[in-house]
Amino acid sequence: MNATILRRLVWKEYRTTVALWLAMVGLCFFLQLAVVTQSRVFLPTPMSPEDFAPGLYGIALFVTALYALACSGMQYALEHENKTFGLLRSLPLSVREVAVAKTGWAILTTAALAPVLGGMAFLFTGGAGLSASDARHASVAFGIAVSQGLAWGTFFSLLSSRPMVAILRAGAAVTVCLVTVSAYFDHTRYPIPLFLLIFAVVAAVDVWLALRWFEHWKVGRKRLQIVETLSDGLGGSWAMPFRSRRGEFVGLCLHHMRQSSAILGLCALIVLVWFVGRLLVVTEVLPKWSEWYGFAALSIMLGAIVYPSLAFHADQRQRGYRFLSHHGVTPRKAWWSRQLVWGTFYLLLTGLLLLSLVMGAPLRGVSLEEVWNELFTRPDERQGGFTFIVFWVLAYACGALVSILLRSGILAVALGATLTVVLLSLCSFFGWYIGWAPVWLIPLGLLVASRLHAADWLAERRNWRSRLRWITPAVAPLVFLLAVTPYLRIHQIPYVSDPGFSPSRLESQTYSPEGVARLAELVAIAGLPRETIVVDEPGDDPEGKKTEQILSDNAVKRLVAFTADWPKPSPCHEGRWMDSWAYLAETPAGRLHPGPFSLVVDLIRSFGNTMRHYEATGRPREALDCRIAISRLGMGMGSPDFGQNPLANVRRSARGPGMTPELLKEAISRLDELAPDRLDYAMGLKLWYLVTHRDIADDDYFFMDIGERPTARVLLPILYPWERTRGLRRLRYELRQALDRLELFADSCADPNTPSLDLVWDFPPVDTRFNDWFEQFLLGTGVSAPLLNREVLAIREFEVARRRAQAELAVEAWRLEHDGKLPESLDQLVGVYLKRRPVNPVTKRPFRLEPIPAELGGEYMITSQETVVRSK
Amino acid sequence: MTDVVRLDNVTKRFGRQTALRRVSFAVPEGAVFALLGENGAGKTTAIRILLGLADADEGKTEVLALPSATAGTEIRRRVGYVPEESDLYDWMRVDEIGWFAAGFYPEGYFDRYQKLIDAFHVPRDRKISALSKGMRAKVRLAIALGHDPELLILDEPTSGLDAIVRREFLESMVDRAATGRTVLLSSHQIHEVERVADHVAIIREGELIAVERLDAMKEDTRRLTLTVKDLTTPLPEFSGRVLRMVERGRQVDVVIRGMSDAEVAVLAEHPVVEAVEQHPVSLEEIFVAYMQRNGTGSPAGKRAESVTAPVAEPQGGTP
Amino acid sequence: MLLHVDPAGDLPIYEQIVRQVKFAIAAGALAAGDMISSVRELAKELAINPNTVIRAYRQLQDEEILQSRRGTGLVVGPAAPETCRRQRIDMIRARLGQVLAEARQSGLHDGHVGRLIREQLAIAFPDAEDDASQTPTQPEEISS
Repeated sequence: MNATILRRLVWKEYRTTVALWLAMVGLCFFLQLAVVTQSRVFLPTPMSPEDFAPGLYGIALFVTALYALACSGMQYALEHENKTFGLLRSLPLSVREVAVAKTGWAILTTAALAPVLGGMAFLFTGGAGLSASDARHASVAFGIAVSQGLAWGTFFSLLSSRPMVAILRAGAAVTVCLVTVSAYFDHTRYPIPLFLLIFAVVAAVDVWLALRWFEHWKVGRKRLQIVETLSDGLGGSWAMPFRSRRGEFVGLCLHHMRQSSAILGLCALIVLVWFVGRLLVVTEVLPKWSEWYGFAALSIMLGAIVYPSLAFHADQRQRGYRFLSHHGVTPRKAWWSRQLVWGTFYLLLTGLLLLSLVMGAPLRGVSLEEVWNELFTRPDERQGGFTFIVFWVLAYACGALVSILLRSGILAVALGATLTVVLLSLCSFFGWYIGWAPVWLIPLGLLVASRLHAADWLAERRNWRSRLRWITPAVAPLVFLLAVTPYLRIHQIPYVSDPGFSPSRLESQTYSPEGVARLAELVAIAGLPRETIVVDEPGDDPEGKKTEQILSDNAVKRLVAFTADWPKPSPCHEGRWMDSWAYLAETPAGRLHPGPFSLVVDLIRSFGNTMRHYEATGRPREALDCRIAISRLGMGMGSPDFGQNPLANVRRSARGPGMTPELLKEAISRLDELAPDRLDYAMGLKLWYLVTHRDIADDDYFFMDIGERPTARVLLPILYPWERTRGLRRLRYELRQALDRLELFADSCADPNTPSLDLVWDFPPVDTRFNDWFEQFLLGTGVSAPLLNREVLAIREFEVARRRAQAELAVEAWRLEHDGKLPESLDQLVGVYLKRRPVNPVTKRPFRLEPIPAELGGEYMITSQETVVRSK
Repeated sequence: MTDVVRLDNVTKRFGRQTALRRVSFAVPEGAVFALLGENGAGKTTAIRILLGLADADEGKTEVLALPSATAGTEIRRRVGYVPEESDLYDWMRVDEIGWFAAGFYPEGYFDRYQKLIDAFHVPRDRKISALSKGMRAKVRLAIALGHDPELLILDEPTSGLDAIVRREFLESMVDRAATGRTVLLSSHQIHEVERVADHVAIIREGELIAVERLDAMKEDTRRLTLTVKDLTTPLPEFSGRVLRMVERGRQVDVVIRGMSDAEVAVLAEHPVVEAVEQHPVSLEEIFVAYMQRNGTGSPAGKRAESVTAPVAEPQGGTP
Repeated sequence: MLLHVDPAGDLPIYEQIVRQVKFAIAAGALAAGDMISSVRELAKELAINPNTVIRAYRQLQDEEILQSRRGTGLVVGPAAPETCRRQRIDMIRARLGQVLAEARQSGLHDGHVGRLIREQLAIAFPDAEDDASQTPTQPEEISS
């Protein structure tokens, strides 16, 4: 075998197949990208790379096998279709040299493609490989699929003069092989010997045929005429063109059926095999399928993309469309006749496929209505049904456009598949964010482009005007939807008037001197030295002792004095309240602590330790002062949680030496000052709003939380301005809602007998859609907006706790005056210690006293027998 | 002189059809040998058998003293062949296809190919799909001549081409013959064949009905128009082989072979013959006459059957 | 040398070449000692078989109209112009004879024929004086 000759022949094969190889790389890239995007961006909880890695490697292997099939199926047959067979024969070549070059090249390029695609999968998963068993499965599957593809592809290519038909026949043969063989084996044992046998037989036949390719391919061709006769029957050689005007169109359709009968027949065959196989599995005539189910299903899906790309193949082959234009067929009739035939078939085959997928349900006891709901109406799912339908329609539209543009059927298929995958991802994006109705514009645009190009196609016009004619309707819907998405999303929430707060107003203000002075005091207190005590609790210390920090007496005194008139109508009341907290955040002490509140939180923590220390060391008066001071401090900084905590178990501070009923009465009345109708409860919400609002203005914070989602990082900058506006409007809307609810609550607490109270109990949860949107885009308000609702609930809880604490103090006061005996009911306390009968403001049930028997501790409980609704 | 090509009793069947029936001829060295025949007569089949591209069912063939059945590749390496149905690789450029073909032949192919291409005024860097039909034919010819073969075989090389390209082909063929190389040509263009061929073989339905030197054939064949005195008297016997006879009223047009001038004079003196006119006969007329030999066109019953279809006598093609 | 051949004409191609070469020499287009196109050149120019050209040249060589000169090819022989002129006259004589025979065959009277001849002569040689009254002054020329 001469090296020069082989070099020439291999060069020729390279030039013929390089476009297909590159198209496969592109197809695999977009398929893998689609999987990655779906797994990481569009799922409620993004998948980790290990989870979708098998899918990506599976795609790589599948596309490699597809290439093996396509390349080997096209090589020999192409020489006949292009009529270069004669030239090849006239050269001093032996058929052995040609066969080695062709088949060797197919094997070589397949082997080169696998690592490239596998490498892409590797990069997409960020370096995650496959587990050992997965890798073993994968390599076996790869070996089988590729070997079958090469063997059958070469077989049909040697016997055919039409590459497209050869490829489809080989595809049908491989599908039938895989499906029937795997039906009889379960997935624990791969039927490798059987596959090897099939491969060996087919490969031997291939070698025999190849050595005779130069002479006897026509003989072999005769043997396949049975198949051709069958597929010809589809077109109906009885269909002679009619003479009437209407008949011309019918004649065109029938002519086209006859022309494409091979392809139509093969696709119908593949779908029928799939359908019958599925029927047998569903009715459990055949045992369960092995993993080839997935492979076969993927083949069918790809078939759905392949088939429409061949709509004009019969006319494109050897410029067959010239026949139409020479016989005066108008572009309109030509296009519609082709679409009618292919579209009808497509609908039939699609219907069969859908039926095969769905028919398992009734036989397993699932009603069709449930299936429908599953696919189309579950609001929190990604509406898989719509995606499916869009996929089918989009595949058809892409195919209709690509096949009228490209003369090579194989390239049309590869590019049609790639285009479908890319557009499907975009359609999912649009469907999710603006709804499924506008998405239909994309396939419609493609079909219009195809129809508009028909005239130029028949007239063989190729100038910029003709290109513009088809590019415009194809691309316009995409551009339109991209432009319209932000606008539609912003208008998905109702516009609400500004509740009066905005960062711009904030930034133009100067800090008020009173606020500065007040908070300087707080900072000074926080800076005072603290003492360390040892607490009798197990801790991190190996010796089993825990240390805590407590405030000095001086600091406590100053804090109690600080909170004495707090909260009260503060400088914040006229909208200038935030400046104090802003100032706090920028003090040196404030900067040491991340966020403006941590300074105070730290202070409160030590304050709480001090309070417990007082209780433990028998100083209940100071402890009680501390409790109330902490509660006021917490409420003052707008955190009902911190306000509520000290009010639990308030009895601990009500017992001990030096405690008198008068002190307790005084404490009860001080707690009155924290009643909602007296407090600026809205302050809490406003505080949160502005704190986080400032962060919205800060882009770093904005992007910080989406670091885990690279695709969102890509999409967000494009849509950021509108998403930000939308987010802010949503936030304002939620804020307005929360403020309204809070005001209602405050009003209801003032007068428990207001009939409109029932509405107040019904605090609706924050809209789940809002939550979902939040999850995806993770604006800086991701922390705060749900907390708006939580804030309202927390305030309700605080009020409940406050009233309960007052009742407890009253009980302790009674016990002090009645020798430690419990009152029979809380009503006895009304008028003496409490102004009103204590009622749970949320459930409107009265609190009552529940003594706990001595065996269980001997204490008492104050309860209204309601489960406090805790926000998530 | 040796025979460059020899066919001996070659028979080829395709299923029930017989494409070639005991065909034998030889092409001497340095000759321009033309195969004439209708479409489907078997010319292309014969050529393919010669080159080892098909197998003969009976008989044997030799090219350049190599047997076709076993040495097909070697034959094709030494012979230049322009096949009838051969498209070129559309996506290749003119120089690329020359480079591609150069790999199969000995050194020097590519340079010669480029020179031929330039001589034919075909642009080197144009894609073949952008060439006109005539230029493509010239590329095919250049591919066949790149290795300066001793034998050039052309199968319908100029069908569908314009006069200028056809002229260029003829000049190439003639040039090769002038340098002592052999050309085997299968063509329908009888006028071209008439100019350049020195041997002619006529094949009809798989059978060889004539093979001889062209000048001998033309010298030996005459076309006579006889004017007879009346329609009832039978015609004289023709001393020669009548290829074709057509009667129109009192005139009889006959294409006849093997008649000497003396015999023509004798014919002119025949009582029933009023006048004899002799016309020059072109190869086309000879060919048509051979093709139509079974029909005579004589009015039914008017003449005695002195006109019979003569049997073919293939004569050897030795110079 | 400008030649023109008609493959389907009544004369064989080589005959046509021979005749045209002779005419060219007779007319003075080719002088003694001039080189003529090689076989290859002429065959290519006329797109005819080289053997035909070879045959024509061989005949011309036999008649000593062309001579082979080593190194340069074929040249017109020294006696060629004379020979060709004579042969041309012979050819014209032969053709005239043919025409007259044909005229006789078509039944024309010799007087009628004579009239036709004089008519055509006047057309062909318009400047000549009345031929009928002239006696041939150089009988050798006419009969050679």
